[in-house]
Amino acid sequence: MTDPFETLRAELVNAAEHAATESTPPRRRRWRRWRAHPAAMVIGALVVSGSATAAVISLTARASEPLSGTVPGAIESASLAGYRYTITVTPNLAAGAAFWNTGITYSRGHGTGTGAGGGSEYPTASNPLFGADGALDSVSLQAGRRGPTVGYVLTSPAVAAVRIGDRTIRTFSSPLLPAGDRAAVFFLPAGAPQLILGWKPGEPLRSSMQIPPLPGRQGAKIPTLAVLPLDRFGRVIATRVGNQDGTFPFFWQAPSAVTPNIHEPPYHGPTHALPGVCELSQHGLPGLTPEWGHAIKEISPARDSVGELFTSCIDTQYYLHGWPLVAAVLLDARQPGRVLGEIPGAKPVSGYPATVEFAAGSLTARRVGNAWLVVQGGSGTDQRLRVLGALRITKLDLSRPNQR
Amino acid sequence: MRTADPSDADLLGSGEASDFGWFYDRHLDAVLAFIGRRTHQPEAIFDLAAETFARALEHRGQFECTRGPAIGWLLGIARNLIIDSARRGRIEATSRLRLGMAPVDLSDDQLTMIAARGRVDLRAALRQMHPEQREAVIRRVVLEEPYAAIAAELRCSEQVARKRVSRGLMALRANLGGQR
Repeated sequence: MTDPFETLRAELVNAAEHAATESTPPRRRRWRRWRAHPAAMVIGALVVSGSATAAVISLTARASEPLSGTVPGAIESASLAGYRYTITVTPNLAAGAAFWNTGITYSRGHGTGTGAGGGSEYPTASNPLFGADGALDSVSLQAGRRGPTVGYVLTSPAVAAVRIGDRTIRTFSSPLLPAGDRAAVFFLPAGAPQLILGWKPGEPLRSSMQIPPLPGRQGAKIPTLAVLPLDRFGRVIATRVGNQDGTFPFFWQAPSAVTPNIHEPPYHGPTHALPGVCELSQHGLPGLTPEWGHAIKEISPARDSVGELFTSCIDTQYYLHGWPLVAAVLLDARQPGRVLGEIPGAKPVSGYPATVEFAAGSLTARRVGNAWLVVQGGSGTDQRLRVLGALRITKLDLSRPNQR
Repeated sequence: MRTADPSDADLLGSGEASDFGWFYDRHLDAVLAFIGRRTHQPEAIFDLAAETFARALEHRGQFECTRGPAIGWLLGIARNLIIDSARRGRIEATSRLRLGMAPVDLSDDQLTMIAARGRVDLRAALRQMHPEQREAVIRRVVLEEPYAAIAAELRCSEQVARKRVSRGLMALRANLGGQR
């Protein structure tokens, strides 16, 4: 059940955002209908004792489900009904690309499963949907045949609701989302079509996608349904997908690195971290071994992005006592060098100044100037804090941004 | 640089949307307790609280910390709304409409939750306060007496009266928080 006061809070913050950016008050939405209360108020010590029989408000849009909750429906095998789901949003750490990783985790008792999500795009004014998951992924495709699944879509600040078939679902903001961005979460019945983003005027809302046959597996035809972003007046926001190429990352790999791709040809590339706009060094933590990573030689600001967005200028995969950890340096994607916003969902770590932790994303970060030094993975918070303490940003050159 | 615990005036004056969320979190319980004493109808409690904060958002530029603490200003808005609602027979939504806020449709479970939050015992919270602070808060917030009058009645300076109201409201907020 969604806390209505959280919903109210989101509406107020959203209204405050618009109030800050608009010189004139927003117009009343046509589909709004406020409930009129009968004369039921008595002032002072008298208390109204009448029953709450006022009609439930009739709206075309329904409230979103929260970012974490329980999948409805009867519990049965091969079904997600009764599972607790949690949707997480974490910054991409791969150098040269600016986007948010999203994912959904299902758990019940000791069992967990993870749904894919994310995508490699960030929201823009003309392409406001990103980070969606609905009906088709390794977890929910199988389970969805037996019961309901969870769908979600992340949106830019301009999207007030999304339309999915005959359902309109209001978006909401949350401290667990990138600042300014919003989300809509909904339950999909068994056998629901695969949701797709990027619908353009003239295209059919309902269509199908062909899954080609593979050895040992038959091909399939999967019905699809477009997700439509709606603005605050209930109008569909026309989507135009732009170019979000990012910056080419240069790869390096230490000779000690063990890769799962044993059939790859022998590696003859760079064997140590390459010079780039950002560089990391380590000291004082024996056993911390850099294995591979990426560097970039210029930064491409994502000037068309809306909402909070980070870009990584370096990523390095370390190993410590058998545990893999990724370290990265995050900058403001729109204006690298500007003071960065908060990492969604992250909370301060007691005793560690300027350090935050986002447990659901296995991520710990420390503010270093106008950047986040981030460590993700490892055995837990203690190990990530030790690694963070051993790492230094030795170079951060923002003098040559690529003007894209 | 932002302090760890910014004042209400800072939150209302910053123009940052997230700061208004902070302000909302800080005072929601007190507003619900205030409204919940005057109606037990959960839909009315919710709509009154929503319109109270929407009105505060709309008029946040008019808040003057020299005239008293923000919680007093906020409860004053709520009080006026309640009176207005009784006179008109319905709860105003004008600020929410002007701000373009979406309506919140409430399920039965949510209505139950709202009713529970509105049942916070304001009298019990007031009883826990120091008598001098309690009297100052009631005179200022409920009876809307000017500080000069409160000071004369309590036989203290106007500055001391302001301090008692301010500290009393902080204590009240803490007491209400402890009831949940």
